Amino acid sequence: MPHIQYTFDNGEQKRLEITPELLAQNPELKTVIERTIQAAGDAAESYGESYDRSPGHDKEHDKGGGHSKEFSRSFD
Amino acid sequence: MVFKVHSRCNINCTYCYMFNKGDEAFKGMPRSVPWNVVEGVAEMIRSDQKANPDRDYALVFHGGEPLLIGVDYFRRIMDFFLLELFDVKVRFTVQTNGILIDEEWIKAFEEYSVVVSVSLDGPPHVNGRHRVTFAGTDSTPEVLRGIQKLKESKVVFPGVLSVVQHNECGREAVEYFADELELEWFDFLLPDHTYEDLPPDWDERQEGYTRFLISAFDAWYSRVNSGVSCRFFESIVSRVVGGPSTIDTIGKDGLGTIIIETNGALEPHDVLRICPEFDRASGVAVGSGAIEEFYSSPIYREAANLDQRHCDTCLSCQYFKICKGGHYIHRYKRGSGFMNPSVHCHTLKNIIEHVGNRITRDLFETMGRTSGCTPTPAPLVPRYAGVGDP
Repeated sequence: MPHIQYTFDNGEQKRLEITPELLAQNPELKTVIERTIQAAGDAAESYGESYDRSPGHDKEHDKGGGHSKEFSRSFD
Repeated sequence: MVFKVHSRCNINCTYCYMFNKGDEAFKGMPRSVPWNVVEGVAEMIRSDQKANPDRDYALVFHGGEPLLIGVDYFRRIMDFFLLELFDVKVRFTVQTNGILIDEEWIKAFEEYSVVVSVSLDGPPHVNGRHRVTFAGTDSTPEVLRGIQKLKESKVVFPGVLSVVQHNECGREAVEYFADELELEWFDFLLPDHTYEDLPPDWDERQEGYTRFLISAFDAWYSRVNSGVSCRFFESIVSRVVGGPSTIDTIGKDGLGTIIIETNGALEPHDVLRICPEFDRASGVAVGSGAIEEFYSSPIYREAANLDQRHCDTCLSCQYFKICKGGHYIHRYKRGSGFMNPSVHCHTLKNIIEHVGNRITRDLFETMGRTSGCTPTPAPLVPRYAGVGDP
């Protein structure tokens, strides 16, 4: 499950689980995380996709269906 | 796979890792990729796919400047690949400086459904400082003409790759790409340096890169829901919340890059040429079984190992799980090899902290909105503390 650790000035440290329900209330973060999961899925299954001196976002590939992954599975 | 179809370039960017960092390997390369290498690439992919039927491939036409091969030769290569690899899923892309794009190139890109990305370092006054011709003049007008042709065509043109500049404004770069050029995608690259070639004002540059990336992130994040994508920032956000990265600079997950040199030799990463005394030759060339052979080669195993081995400074850092030491090439130093923090460590820490704090505050505000009360005693402000254990 995606999560962050945070701390306060009083030293208290906690962990926040980022649930789909919470993300549904935060459109920017939801968009970014879903987009990165899509890209990571494509990269992991495609030889040579990880070179960062090359084009990234591929609309044609997205039109073709791409590789969608469940939200939480990619964080296991 | 990065296919270096031409070993020269028609411009002379001051920071170029291929030509202006001391490596002269390009001088021994054929200029345009020979036909037997093209055949070898097809054979290599075909033989790999027979052994791995569900695998698909990405082939980036790269260089130097790939369009120097000429559109006729490009068409010949693409016709050959489409015939030889008709039942293999291969995504063809081109990374170009955009200068040579004309109507003939546009037609070819459209017909072969090739995705094209252009290198551009920001607004014209920024791009023209470093991306210059051999005569020292600004290459930007020609680049923008090429971009305009792409935008007016049916070519899949995601956007631009941009090298971060320490003395420029990141917000202005994002505004230019997203608002003025109306691009849907851009990406940032940190300049390529090792400990062997750091400029004397490196500490000041790190502060400059930090300022650039922080202001760029804020400008991008405010535009995310308009569809603007930035792989560099998306990888950081993903890692901040415990997810994967897709780029070298943020310690990517996934299989390693294969560089296909113009003479057909396979190498682990072309930017390794800026690491003096590192022998990147694999002894493997394109042909049947070459991918398997390359991944079994000592040089690939060493390069892959470099990605996984880190110094104690990195391992004990709270942000290591996010940056994974950054791009391993940026960790190189004679004597200690790649067992050092990245030369960009200061910048990476600061942008990760900024992104982490922003995400943390956003999530707290979201929880406050949805529950009607803040989840923590006010006025304590949460600070990002890294990725925990699962």
